[in-house]
Amino acid sequence: MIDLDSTTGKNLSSDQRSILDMLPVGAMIISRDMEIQFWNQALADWSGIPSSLALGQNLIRLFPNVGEGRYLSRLTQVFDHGLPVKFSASFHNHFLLLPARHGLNCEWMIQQTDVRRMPENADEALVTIQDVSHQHVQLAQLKAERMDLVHTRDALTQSNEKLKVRNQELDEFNYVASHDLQEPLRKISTFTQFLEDDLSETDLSDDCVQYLQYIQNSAERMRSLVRDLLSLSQTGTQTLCRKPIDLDAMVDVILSDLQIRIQETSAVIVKESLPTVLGDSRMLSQLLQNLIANALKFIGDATPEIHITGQERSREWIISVEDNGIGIKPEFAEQIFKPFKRLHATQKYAGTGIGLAICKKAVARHGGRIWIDGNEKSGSSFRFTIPKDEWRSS
Amino acid sequence: MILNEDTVDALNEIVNIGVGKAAGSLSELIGARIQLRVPEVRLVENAEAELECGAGISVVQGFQGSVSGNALLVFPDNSGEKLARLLGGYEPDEAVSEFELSGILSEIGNIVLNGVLGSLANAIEVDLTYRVPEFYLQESLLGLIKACDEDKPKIGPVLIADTEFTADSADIRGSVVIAFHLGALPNLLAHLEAMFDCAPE
Repeated sequence: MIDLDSTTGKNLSSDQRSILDMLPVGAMIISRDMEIQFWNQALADWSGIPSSLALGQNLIRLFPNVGEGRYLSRLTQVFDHGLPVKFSASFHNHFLLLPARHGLNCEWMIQQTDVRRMPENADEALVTIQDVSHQHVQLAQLKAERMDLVHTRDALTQSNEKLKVRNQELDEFNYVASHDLQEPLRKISTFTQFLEDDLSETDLSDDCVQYLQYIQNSAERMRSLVRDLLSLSQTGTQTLCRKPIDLDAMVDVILSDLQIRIQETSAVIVKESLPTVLGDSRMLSQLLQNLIANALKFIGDATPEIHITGQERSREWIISVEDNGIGIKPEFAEQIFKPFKRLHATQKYAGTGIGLAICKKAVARHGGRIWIDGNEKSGSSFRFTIPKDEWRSS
Repeated sequence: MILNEDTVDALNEIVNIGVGKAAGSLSELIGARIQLRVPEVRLVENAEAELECGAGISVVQGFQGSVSGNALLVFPDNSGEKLARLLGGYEPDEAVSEFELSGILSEIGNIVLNGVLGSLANAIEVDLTYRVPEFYLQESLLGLIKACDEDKPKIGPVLIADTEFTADSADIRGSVVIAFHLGALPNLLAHLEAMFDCAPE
């Protein structure tokens, strides 16, 4: 601590000058008429004006902004009443217009300034100036980054809202379209059947019989597509009815429904104890049925083996359906969850290509995620998550 | 200690003259009209000051002389940030850092407390010396007053002046608190008595 109690600007001891010169803050002593009585090394370095030139100069002549009313009226308080004055960086930026130090992204030095009257001389005041440019620049950068984040967040929120509305419109359109398409399809099938029944074999050429068969097959396939499309849209729009679901019991029922296919393929099913989760019974049942049915459909030469397991994590369950079937190339791991995405010809493996899209939507409605592990050689492992303690529906 | 009506009136006038000057300086600083009003001043025991003012943001300026103590501008809850936002010209969604809050409120506190202390010293015609104001966040008011004094003198009664800042049709409340050192208040009252005696009939 420097004792300035019995000191004036002109009679500072050499020790006092040395200490003030070593300070990393600007320090000067000015008289009531603004004459500079002391000018420390920091100010000399910052301004490029050595002490020898600054002493005796009028501060306002060197730095005209100090003569502005907002400074001068308050500096008068210091001399007249001994009241200390603070000029913050937020309101003033700089008391002395000095260039910012090298490397900082600002032109002028940002300062915080305190002015107090010298204890033993009412006509002199000590001015201390802190360089806060670095903090100021950092703060400006942080604020700019924060504003960018706020804008990005707002844009994302808006996009999400738009997407939600679009998705809802799309689901509603799907529902209406697929529902309305069923009626004309039914008519095509019915009247094709009437034609077949009414016309005797002798009335029809072989080509005509084949054409009628094509129409029947196409109508049947289209009916399957429309039915699955309807199911997909219902998965997206229907109200979730959540309650505790015993997945163990649910899988037993599904396996019982698929018993004929299991016997046909001689599949070996290994099921570990599965958890009870909070979810929509209809959606979870369709999800598991689709995954197990796929495992029984896409089989290779070996005897099919299907493992159904549940793994507990801190905040979720991971349910897996693993098989030793034909597998899926990694490059298709994302695509297979898109509607109508088929990797094989219909003749080889029947289906509409909507089953996994329904699975993805059902999992998403439960706040979980679904993915596939494995490769073409070692079968497929479908896994999905169900949150344990919270309900995060879409 | 209970003050008589004349003394309360005199203190009220002194504080209002001070905040009036401060309002002028603040208006000049930000280039917009700011009004400051102190409806009343009251004296409480130091232990009650905490309850009366709450604790949030404080700017403290010590003073010494024949009357000594600490003057504080205290903002309860988020009033300090509101005032800093208003006077600092911040956008509604712009964050105010502690660094900026400290700078803005220290200077506002400096102007307001200088106004009040200057008015007090001028009225009782004494020469006081002052410390540079300091900014404190979330401190206990009484603990803060005690911590601000290096030689830890005992704290006497506390003068509270509820202060309303009005700018841009917004009202923000704070308190000017003067915590006198024990023994300083009788000196102040003696000075005030002398002032009354000298006043023309």
